[in-house]
Amino acid sequence: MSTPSQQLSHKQYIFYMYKTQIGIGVLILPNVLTKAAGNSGWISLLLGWMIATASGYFMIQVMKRHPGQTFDGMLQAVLGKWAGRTVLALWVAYTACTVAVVLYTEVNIIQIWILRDMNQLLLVLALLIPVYRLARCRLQVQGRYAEFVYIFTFWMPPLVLFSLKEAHALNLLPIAGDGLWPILNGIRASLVPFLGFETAFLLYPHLQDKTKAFKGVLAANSLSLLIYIFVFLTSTMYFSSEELRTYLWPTLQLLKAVTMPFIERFEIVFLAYYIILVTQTLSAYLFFAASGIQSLIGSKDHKRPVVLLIVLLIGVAWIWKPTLEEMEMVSGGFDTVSIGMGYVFPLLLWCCWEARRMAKGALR
Amino acid sequence: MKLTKSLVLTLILIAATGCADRTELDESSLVTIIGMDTNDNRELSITGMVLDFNEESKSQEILLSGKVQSLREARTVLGAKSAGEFLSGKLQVLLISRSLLQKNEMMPYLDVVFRDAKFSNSALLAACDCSVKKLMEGKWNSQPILTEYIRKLIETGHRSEMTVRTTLQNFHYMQTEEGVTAAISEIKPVGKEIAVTGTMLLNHSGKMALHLNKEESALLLLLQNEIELPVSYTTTIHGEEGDSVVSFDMKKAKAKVRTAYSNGKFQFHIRVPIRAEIAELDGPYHLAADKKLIESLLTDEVEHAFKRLIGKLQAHKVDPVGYGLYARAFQYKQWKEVREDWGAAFGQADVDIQATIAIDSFGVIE
Repeated sequence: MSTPSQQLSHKQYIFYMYKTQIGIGVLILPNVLTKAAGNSGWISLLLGWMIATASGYFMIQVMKRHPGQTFDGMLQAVLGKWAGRTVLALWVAYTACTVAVVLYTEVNIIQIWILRDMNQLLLVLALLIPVYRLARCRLQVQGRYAEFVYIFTFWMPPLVLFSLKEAHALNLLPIAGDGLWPILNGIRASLVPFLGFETAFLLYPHLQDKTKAFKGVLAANSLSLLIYIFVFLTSTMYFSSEELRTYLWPTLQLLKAVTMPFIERFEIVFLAYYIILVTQTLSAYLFFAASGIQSLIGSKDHKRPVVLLIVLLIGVAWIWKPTLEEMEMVSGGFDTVSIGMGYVFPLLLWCCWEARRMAKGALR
Repeated sequence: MKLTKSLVLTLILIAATGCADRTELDESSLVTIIGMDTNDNRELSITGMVLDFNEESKSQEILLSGKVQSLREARTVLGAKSAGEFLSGKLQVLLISRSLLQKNEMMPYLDVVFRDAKFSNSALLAACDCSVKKLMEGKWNSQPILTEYIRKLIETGHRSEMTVRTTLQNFHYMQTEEGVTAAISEIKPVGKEIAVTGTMLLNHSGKMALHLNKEESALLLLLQNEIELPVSYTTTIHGEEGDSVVSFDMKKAKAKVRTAYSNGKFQFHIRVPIRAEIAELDGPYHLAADKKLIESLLTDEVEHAFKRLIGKLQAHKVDPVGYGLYARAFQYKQWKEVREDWGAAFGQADVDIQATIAIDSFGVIE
């Protein structure tokens, strides 16, 4: 892994996680969440936020006890050399797959909404250029990019407000009309969009102020929660529940209603800028995977693994041109994996570490 | 080295901008109005208005028509008749003839509109009380460009409370929402002009159920709280001293709804407090002295009109106001039993409506 000497400011740390979280999820969230939880999905979101924050807490707790050590070092210290390396390999596989899933889903969305007849491979190539340039940089540069993305896309969420003109506030009632079960059912759907905070594992050793590490996770999660609840409530008010269940990307559909005298079909502009947001998600996960490979094979820096991964991604895109349906199936299954990695793993790790500490204490 | 690298990169970027696949404006046919009609053979006849960018032609619009099975097929059939590539992203108005609305459900026809991301969903939807072709072929006095004419007609008609304003997106909402039924504007050629004639109400399945005239449309908009104040309203009051035509502007008006459920029926208590400014009064009344009397007479009239409207809606089992949303929000348990067919349940509901009119002022004369 890269040397811990590179410093990341608190702000950069927050935005890095926050913008990694905001990926494809926010586009489909109202649809998935309504299917599971109806109009009370925002309560599930709140619960999801709590779980995500608790998960982040466990992560930071473990990392805190191994100051100066990278993710790799911490894993080996807690789990032992070989188990640690195996788990790291799992993380590499997971993050690399995340890159692939996000990338191909994004390509599919662009194809359906903007570039109808564009070759998938070309789109993959075009998307990977900025991702490649970014992921091979030092972490500091990536942190600055996250800040840039934050400022550059600041105007996007308020656009959704335009649709409030035709909102039906009554759609939000009754709160929890079908009881508790749908809300609990919606938690799974609301856990996935919070994923991205697990990059804290990677970022922790590089933080300028490590005491504020947990606060950073909390801040990033809360910022994302705000966006998600905002988007969910607006689309619930704007659409009928039937519509929300049938529109694949309700958030984009919301923007379709935005018409100004000088521009129609605003969702296209929105989606074009959205690519910038997604590059942050992609490059963060790509960097995670590349750093993992770097410490697994013990290479000098993470640039070579990045090239390797990019070539792999293009290779996959060459052979496999997923349709939207296939992509949905894959990402549906992959969601379970990511919940395991992002939520169950930190808890297990923390338990492992606690057990070890207690065993040591008993020995003494 | 660095310079060459960035040069190559720039070149790639310039080459990859996608200009090879561009669409020239004057080589494309932008369709602005689509009219849907049916004849006795149950065929669908489509009329499309296409913008003409050719400098030498006199009119700015070209009319195309053809017989098709579906809206998407129209793209091929009409596209064959036009010089350019057929594009529906700039659609402004979708006209549907009354006879088609009476015969068939609308949603299956409009599937392509909502499925195809390129379709503009902000186009206005309007019914037309004549053959669509006649309306679109006609030469109308007021405006040279029909698209602009119809669009403005509906927009101003809506602003002066004569009709609803329904975009395709709104229509999709109203058809898919269980607690509401659709309402679209209606236009009709009158002499050498086109006029807004009111509102067309559709039932849950999207067939025509009821037509509201302009006055009823105003009351409907009031119940929907979709009005732009002030709203002017004219009615006749019948007092002991004689009849009198009164026009007034509503300065403040808002419908408030309370719901309940008893005896197996939904109950809606609607209160509509209105603050009015008298604009015209031609009877044997003295405004300043008889203010209380006129207020109560006006209240009677307006309340009566509201009751008639609600009665009509209930008789035809339509709920364009969206009382179903209230029922769902506050009487969820009972709502779940009737959600499949809210229109019928609304038809049996007890609706009690109370209007109160308070006269604020009566102009510059007593």
